Amino acid sequence: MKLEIKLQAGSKASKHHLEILPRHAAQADMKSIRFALEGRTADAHVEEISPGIYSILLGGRSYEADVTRPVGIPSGSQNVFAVTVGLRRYQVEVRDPRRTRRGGSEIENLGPQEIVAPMPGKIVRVLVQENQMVARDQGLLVMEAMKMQNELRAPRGGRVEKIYVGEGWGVESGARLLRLG
Amino acid sequence: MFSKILIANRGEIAVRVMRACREMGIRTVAVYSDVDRRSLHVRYADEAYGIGPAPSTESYLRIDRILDAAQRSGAEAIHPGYGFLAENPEFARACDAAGITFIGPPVEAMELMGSKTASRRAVIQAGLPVVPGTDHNLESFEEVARLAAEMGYPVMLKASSGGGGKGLRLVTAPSELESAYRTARSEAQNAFNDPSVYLEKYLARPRHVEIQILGDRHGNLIHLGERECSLQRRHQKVMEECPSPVLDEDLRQRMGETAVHIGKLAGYWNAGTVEFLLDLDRHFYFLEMNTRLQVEHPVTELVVGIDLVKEQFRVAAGERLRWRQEDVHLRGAALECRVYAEDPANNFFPSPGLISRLQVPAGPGIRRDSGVYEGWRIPLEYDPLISKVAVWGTDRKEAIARMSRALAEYEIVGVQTNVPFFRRLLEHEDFLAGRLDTGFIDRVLAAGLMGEEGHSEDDERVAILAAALHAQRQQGSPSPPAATNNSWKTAGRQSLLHHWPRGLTRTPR
Repeated sequence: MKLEIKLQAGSKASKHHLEILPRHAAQADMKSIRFALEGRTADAHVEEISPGIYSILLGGRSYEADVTRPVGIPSGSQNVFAVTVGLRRYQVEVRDPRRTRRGGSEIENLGPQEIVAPMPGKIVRVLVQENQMVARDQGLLVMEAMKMQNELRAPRGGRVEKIYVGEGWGVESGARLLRLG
Repeated sequence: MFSKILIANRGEIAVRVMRACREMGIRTVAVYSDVDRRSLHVRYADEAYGIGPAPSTESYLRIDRILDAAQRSGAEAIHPGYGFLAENPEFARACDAAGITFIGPPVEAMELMGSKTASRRAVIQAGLPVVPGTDHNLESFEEVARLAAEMGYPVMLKASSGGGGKGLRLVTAPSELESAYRTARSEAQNAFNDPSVYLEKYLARPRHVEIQILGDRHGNLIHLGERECSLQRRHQKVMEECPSPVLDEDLRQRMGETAVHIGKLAGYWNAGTVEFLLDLDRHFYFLEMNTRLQVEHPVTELVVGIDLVKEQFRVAAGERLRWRQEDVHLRGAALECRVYAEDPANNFFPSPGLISRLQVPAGPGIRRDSGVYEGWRIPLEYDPLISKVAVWGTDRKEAIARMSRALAEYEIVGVQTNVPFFRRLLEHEDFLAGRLDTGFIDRVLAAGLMGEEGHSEDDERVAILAAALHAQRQQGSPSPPAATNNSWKTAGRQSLLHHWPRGLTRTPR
């Protein structure tokens, strides 16, 4: 099967084509995988150690990848993952052209997004105003939680459509903080 | 010696104090808030008493409830750990009144050293060096502005009752002063119920070097060398080492003698720490004194070979110190990393949650002080410290290599941690060379330590493959690798689907 991949490492994004090739007789067990990345064929052996933790042998080298849901992406985007390999963290979007009816990337086609409180806390400072344009990673507000002040940043660029909270407000986990258009 | 001690704290430090008790045959009493019933310190203790709801003001800071637990259990002494009531003279006095020994310094020493301005005054009067600044609380913005202008920018605004980086503001220009003054006062009011602030000159690229002291009730007071704590993020120490890469025997002796002198000014006994800033010309200045056990005490224990908690017990029980100054020697080097449940890739945002899997470092030279276990949920209500990993090596180089090895072995699944951040830091050229100052971490973070430098094509391939396989498994795709009929795996996948870590955003309905 052929997949389109969007990889983000820091601020650098790149597109890739991955094909997982059909199993063939020479492959010793179900965990042996032959794949082609940008048309280059390679073999890997994959063990799922625990849910989301993969031990991958590739070209004789041993890697471990930890796949989780990224912070800052709506729960609707089922195909975006945060992947940690060694010390590096990537955001990877996996798209199967056969399955996806509408075109384009989920990260780019989001529409308005509600930024919600990841945990209970108190709003210490609001760093933006309604109608302000913000860039990805720009600070939106400062929240005090777990005895520390933490800055919530924009998961993507856009316009601040609505701010639901004010400085000094206590918020519950999941409370709406602002809407990004 | 005491036969039963109550530990008025939680988490790793409560467990650490109980370990000393166990080795000395002392019975242990834990206290816990409603959300800590399943915490490690409660499971570890011989006895445990609930002291109220989750907010610390209703539990770990409730002197009456803690003393009640002490009396019900028959504990003869209370160890306060660090934080919470550890530097609260009122608590020490209440223990006295209840006939229970407070394992700490005399109340008068706590009071003198607890006030940053009073302790500065005492140290100045003794002719010892302090960071240039004011020695009294500043009452008005006009006074602050005038003194800051006299002193010259940059300046630091500090809370008089401060600690832990709260109520602390660096001001680089007069235009920033008014808002800094307001926020420092309001933070100080919120954190310490005392809005008073004072000013200090900001030194360029200072190191934070502190001296461990230890004294008994018979007038003996010695120092146990230094700790270098220059690696700080937002004024909070994150990694400490002993010895400091820049101290020589002469400077160590001078700083040690000054620390002992300051301890004597306060009539100090118990373990304590005198903090100094060290400037580029190796001049040192008194910063403040902490009248308790420090978070980072393990690095001193590893290098000096003295168990500070046991010595605290002995001193509190009236015993004499078992060491003279000339008996204290530093051997090898130690490092400590404070492992927090926070996400370095997301601006160090706290990441509480269930620790679904935990594999801990082991092998030569490793010490781990932890308050967690696999299957435990890190509560939202407290500081998200998971553990402190400390290592010992014959020299700094071996200690660094050992720490890198230990952190690579450390596997904490279910929450994000700052371990990847430490692993990067341990490779940083300036860190390896020992070129440290209190602004070091902020600078390397600003330069993108957690960012994109050092790209690896292999890691990218692995990330792409892992994500693609993971996506397939979730969708139950029949493509290879075909799902095996393994019910454990199926259950694992289902639990994953039902327990997505909560994201920061969601789409509106």
